[in-house]
Amino acid sequence: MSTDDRGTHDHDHDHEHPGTTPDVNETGYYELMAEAMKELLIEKGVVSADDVRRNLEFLDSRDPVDGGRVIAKAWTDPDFKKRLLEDGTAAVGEMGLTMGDAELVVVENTDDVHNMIVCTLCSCYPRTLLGLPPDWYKSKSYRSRAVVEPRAVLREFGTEVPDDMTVRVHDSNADMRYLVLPKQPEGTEDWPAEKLAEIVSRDAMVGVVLPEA
Amino acid sequence: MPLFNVGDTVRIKNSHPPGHRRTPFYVRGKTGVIERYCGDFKNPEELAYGFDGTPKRELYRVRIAQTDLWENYDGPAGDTLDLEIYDHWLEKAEG
Amino acid sequence: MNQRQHDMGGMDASPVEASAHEAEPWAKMITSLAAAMREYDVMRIDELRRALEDLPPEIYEQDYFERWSEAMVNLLEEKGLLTRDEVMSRMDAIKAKLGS
Repeated sequence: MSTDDRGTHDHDHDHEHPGTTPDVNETGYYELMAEAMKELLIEKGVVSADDVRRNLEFLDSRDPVDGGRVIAKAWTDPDFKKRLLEDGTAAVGEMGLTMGDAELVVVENTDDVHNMIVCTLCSCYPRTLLGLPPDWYKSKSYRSRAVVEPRAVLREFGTEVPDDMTVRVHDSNADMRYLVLPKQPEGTEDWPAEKLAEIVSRDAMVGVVLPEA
Repeated sequence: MPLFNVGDTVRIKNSHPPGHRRTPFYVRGKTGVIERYCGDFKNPEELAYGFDGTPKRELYRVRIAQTDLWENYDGPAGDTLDLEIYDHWLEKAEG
Repeated sequence: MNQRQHDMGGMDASPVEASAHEAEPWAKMITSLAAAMREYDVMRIDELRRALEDLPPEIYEQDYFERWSEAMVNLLEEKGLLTRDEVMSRMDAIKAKLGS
C-alpha cells in the first residue's frame, strides 16, 4: 500500500502532510479502524469475541504491581533472589506469573553496577510483569540514545551514576525480556515484602531511576 | 551443544542483508564476549515471513565495551552494552 | 548500507520526555486483537514487526498504536484475511451508525 491509497477515502482528516502530529480527529480515525478490524476479524471467524475479551482482560490485569512483588520477594528471600537471577522465567512462575512466549532475564544492581533496559528495534518490554510500556520507552529519543549515551539519558530521569560505577545497558532485541533488580534502599531492612513492593516503581525496574524509601 | 562458550570472544558479522533482522545496525562488525547462552529459538528472521522458523538458532547474550561501540563514548571505560545475537550472526574472534 | 528507520540505536534524537499517558481503549483493543491472533498463529509478532519496519516513514513516525494499526491492516491484507478497502468501508459504516 502507499499513503496515497488512503487519500482516496473520504475521511475528515488529512494524511497529505507527513510527519504532522495527529489531531483529535486523527485519533478518532484509528479508533474507527480498530473497531472495524475487530468486527471484520470476528465476522470472518479469525478470532472470536471471547478471544478478544479474554486477552483484553489479561492486558488490563497487568501492571507494575506484579513486578514490584517480584523485586520485594527477592529483597526479602535470598534463596528466591538466587533462583530469580539464575532463571527468571521459572522464578516468577513460582509466583504464578507468566512471561508468555519470552524468557525473563533479571539483572541486579549492586554497589558497582547500574543496569538499564531498552529495546532499540521495537519496544520489547516485560509486559506480563509491568503492563504496557510507557510512552517514553517507545520514543525515538529513548530507543536511539539509551545505547549511545546512557548516562546522559539517566540524568534526564534525574539519576546520576558516579563514574566509579559501571553502567550496563541491555538491548532487549530478541527473545529475552529484562527486569532490573534495584538495590534495596537503606533503612528498609526490616520492612515486610508488602510494604517494600510499594516503593518499587516501574521506572526503577527498567533501570532509569532508583527506588526511594 | 552450544557453538560458543561463556567468555568466548566473538565478532558480530558486518553484514547488511535486506529483510527483518534482529541484529541491530550499531553492533554489526563489532566484537564482544559471550555473556550467556540463552537457549535455542525459532529464527525470527524466518518467522517474520510466514516460514516455520526452523532450524532453531542458538541465542547468545554478547557483552560489548561501550568504548568499542562508539568512537566518542562519554563515560568510563568499563561501561557495557549487552544484547542478544543468534548464532548465524556470530563468528569466533581472537581474544 | 543505511540504518533502517526502526533500527534506532545510536541515531541523533532529542531529550527523553517522561510523560505519563495511559493507552486509550482502542489501543488496548488492537493489542488484544493481535494477542488473540497470535494464539492461533494467524499473525505472529515477528510478522507484525516486519510489517511495522516496512511502513512508509511518515506512517512509522506516527503514534505507536497508530502505526501498529496500519501495519496490522497491511499484514492482514497480505495474508488474505481482510482488505484495506473492507476496513475503510466498515469504518465509514461504523461512523454512519454513530451519527457523526
